[in-house]
Amino acid sequence: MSWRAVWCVWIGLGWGAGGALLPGAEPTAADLLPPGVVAYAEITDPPRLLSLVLDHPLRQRLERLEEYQAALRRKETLAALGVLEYVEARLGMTWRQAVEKLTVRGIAAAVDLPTKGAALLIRAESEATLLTLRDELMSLGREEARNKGRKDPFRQHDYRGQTVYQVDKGGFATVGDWLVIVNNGELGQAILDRLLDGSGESLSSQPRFAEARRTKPPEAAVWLWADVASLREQSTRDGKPFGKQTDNPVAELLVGSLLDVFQHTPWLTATLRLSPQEVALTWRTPFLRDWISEPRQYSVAPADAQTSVAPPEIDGLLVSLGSYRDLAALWLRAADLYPENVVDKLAEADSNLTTLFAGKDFGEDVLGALGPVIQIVAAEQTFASDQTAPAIKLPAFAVLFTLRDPELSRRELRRTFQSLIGFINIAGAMNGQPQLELDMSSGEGFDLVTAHFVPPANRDPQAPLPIQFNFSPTVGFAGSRFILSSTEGLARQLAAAPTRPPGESPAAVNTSLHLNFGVLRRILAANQSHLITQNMLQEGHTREEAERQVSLGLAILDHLLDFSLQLLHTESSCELELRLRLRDAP
Amino acid sequence: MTPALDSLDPEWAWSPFVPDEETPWTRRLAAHLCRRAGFAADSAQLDHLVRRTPAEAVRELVAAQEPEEFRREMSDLARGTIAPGDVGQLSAWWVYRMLATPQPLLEKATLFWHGHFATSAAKVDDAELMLGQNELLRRYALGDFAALVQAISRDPAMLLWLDSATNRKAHPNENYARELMELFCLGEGNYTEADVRELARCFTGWEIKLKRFRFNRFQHDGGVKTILGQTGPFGGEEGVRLVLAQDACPRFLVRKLIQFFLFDEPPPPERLVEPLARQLRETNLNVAPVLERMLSSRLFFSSSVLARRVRSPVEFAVGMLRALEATTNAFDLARGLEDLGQRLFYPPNVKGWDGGRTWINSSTLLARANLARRLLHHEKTRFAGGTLSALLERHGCTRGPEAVAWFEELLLAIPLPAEVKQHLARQIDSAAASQRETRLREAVHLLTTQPEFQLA
Repeated sequence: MSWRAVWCVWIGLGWGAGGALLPGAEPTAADLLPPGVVAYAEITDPPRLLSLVLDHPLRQRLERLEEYQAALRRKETLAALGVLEYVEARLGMTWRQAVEKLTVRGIAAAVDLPTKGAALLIRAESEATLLTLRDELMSLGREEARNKGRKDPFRQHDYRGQTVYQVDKGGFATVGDWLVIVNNGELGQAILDRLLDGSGESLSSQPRFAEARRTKPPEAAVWLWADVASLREQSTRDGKPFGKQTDNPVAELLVGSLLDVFQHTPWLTATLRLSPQEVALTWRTPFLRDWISEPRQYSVAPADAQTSVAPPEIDGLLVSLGSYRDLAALWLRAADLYPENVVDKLAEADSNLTTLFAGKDFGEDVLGALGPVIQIVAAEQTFASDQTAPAIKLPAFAVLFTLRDPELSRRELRRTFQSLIGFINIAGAMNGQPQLELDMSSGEGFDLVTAHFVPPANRDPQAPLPIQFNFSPTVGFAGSRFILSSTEGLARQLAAAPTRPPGESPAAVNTSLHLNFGVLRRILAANQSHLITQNMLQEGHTREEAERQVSLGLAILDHLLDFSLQLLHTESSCELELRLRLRDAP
Repeated sequence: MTPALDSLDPEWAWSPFVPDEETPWTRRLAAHLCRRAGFAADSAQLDHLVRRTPAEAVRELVAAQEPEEFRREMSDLARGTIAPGDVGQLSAWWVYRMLATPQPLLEKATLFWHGHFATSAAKVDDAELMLGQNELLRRYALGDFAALVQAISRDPAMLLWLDSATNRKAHPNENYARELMELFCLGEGNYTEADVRELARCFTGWEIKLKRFRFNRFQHDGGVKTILGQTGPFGGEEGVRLVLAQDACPRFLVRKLIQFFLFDEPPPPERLVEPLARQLRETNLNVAPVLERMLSSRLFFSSSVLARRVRSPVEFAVGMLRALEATTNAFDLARGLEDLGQRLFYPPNVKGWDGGRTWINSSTLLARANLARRLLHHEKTRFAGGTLSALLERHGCTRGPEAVAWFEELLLAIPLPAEVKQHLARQIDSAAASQRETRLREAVHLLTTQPEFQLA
């Protein structure tokens, strides 16, 4: 790590020069920024954020790992630590203490549209602390420049009696315990004017900011705001209007409604919450149901809809993705949603799928038979013994729908599944692949149509089975539920799982994703030898190195509990929440 | 000046090389030995070999055994690689093995047999069978050629490749019988079309069922056949024995060994082939003694052999990496070899790779330079587990001229022109400390693009 790199890290952390303190009420960073700011982020309590990260038990556990210790022993790491130690000695405190003292009263960052400038505002413990650290860090910067035969990197100017330091195209200045760093002189002047005059129109008085600010939760560790309306206008002026359409059918399916929201919403906020147990990031915009265009109504449930996207209750659930999507409406509205080339391909697919479903119209009859909630599920798969386990053990996965008219659709779907298995068998036989054997079974309140690969009669019982033996394609019918699963085991579990009452998950939840790290770890551990093989070939590692790296990955997973994502459409807001939960210390 | 091969005295040529003042036993000569009897040696291996006599060094290379632990580990790695059933991934496994093997001659000989009994996964399309054949070739690579031919004649991948699986008495398929004589054992002109037809009858009923060899007695033609002057109710095994008993067999094999291990061209004169063919016959077609004699001979260390082969893509890339103690992403390396015209497990046809000058043309030359650059600057490439500058530092090469001399000795069969060396040394020395690693890698890249580097 060079002196310059250290200086760059520290430039955001503090310098100071003598300056006037404002009389009266203490301004916030938003009071000092001009109203043309279109993106703003703030950390209200940086020392707390630092403490949550650095004092977290997970950090200590990660530091105990051999890989971490090995990284510490590397030449480059030792050199960087040596530099850091020197800097700390010069500052007379640890780097953490220095950061805490410099940022204890908050950090804010902003991007200003009229000046195209960016600013960083930092409020230190006291003016004296700022001055001490500034002197030391500037001295280090100058020392490095001298050692490399370069000129003094700091050019000094005066602005209304304040000392301003220019560095490359940007600069910094301090007023009292405020440190202002900018990459644009005009923006710097605007901020200094507000600091010195204590008045003037500011970001705080901008209506869209003020409205969003009122929604900021008190526990937010980091809060971000973007002026979408101004960005949209600017984008239109630049001849690059916000996209209304995507040519990616999957993207349309997943986030199509958000494209409509961004055509109307005035602002967007993001809130990061941190606690020892979890990290949560919430994106939020205002929302009106009218903003969703007619072709995209397929992706937003009516306010009075009785739907649930909650994950099913089954053992070994790895991932579940539940979403309100009326596929029939999407399919039939394709021409309004996609460009011509995509519509042509979908029309071709429609023709082929209509053939597969024995002449039934794929959009109207097949997709039309399905309710508007889709559940995609993946789960750990168990095998009776090593002799019946394939060499690579994949998770089982399934798609669940609700049938609008189960009596009418069941026979059609069962027959189509049987035809499909027959087709797979014919194609497989031509390539010497194992054959699928059809069967039927039932349980309490459900029926299954199963297909199992038949192992070769004279196979070596010690040899692992091919990858196909991860699959036993199955369709299941349980009441109005229709299950299409890669394995009989998962289909059976899903069919027997209790049905969630519609009110349990509010209709406002449009999409819900859940990932269980414990199950993921078990699946990866079951394939450890394969992961080691791949690591050896991809990284060029020896077996020992590969084993270490794979074990490290698994050890990290040990500390994670689950991850979830929820997209909510309430009557007044649209929220996307991502949440990562950590496992308690073992 | 290189003496004409025709004028060489065979007795002199195959007598053991004894270093003298004119031709001392140096690291450079040891590097030549390792390039031919493997892929290339690193600096420590050269130090080790020069402490022995040339004869001892060759004996050590020929007699070395792969440690059981390594063999087991590579076998596990292979099983893991083919688990998804993708035959294309096998080539990555093999280059990994080539980079890691402590017995490079065995691996080189396996590569030789892979080109000799050229079988392509493009037709076989079964990772397990291709791996099985590769392991078979390695098992016999330095051993009994007769046993190897008997085993390969029953190898499922070979039988699928040459259509023996459809060889029935009513319609004998002549493919395998023809290639056995023409490409594997005798060469053209040493058999007749009648011999092909009769030998094909011997192999009728040799089938593949569930990926295993099976003899179907109902489809075997048990009648009397006349092959290469012998008459009897021969089966496949006896047919192979008759072919191997021909005088042409050891001569054919020795010619191919010389072209693979000594020089690409011209074809070796008969008077040079004859003594080794005699030895091969006397040792019951055992390959190792003949190979040992070839590699420790005066001819091998003479100017008639030094830099008289064009590096194959495998020798080019694996050699560079082994010499620099480097490891890298095996998938990318295997893909790179394909761009250079040597996709492992996918020889272009039943004759294998033509080799020699055919490796080089304007397109493959560019591909070689690109592959070397990709490998040298690849994020996964490590030199002895670290950086190239750290490796050089460990070997005491702190300045440009020392580094260039070190590279030259390890990587090149013939010295570079002085001006190239000076240019490279200047390039290295002029780099700032932060740029040194990149500059060193660029220097090696520049070196690999030199005409001298294309010769082994």
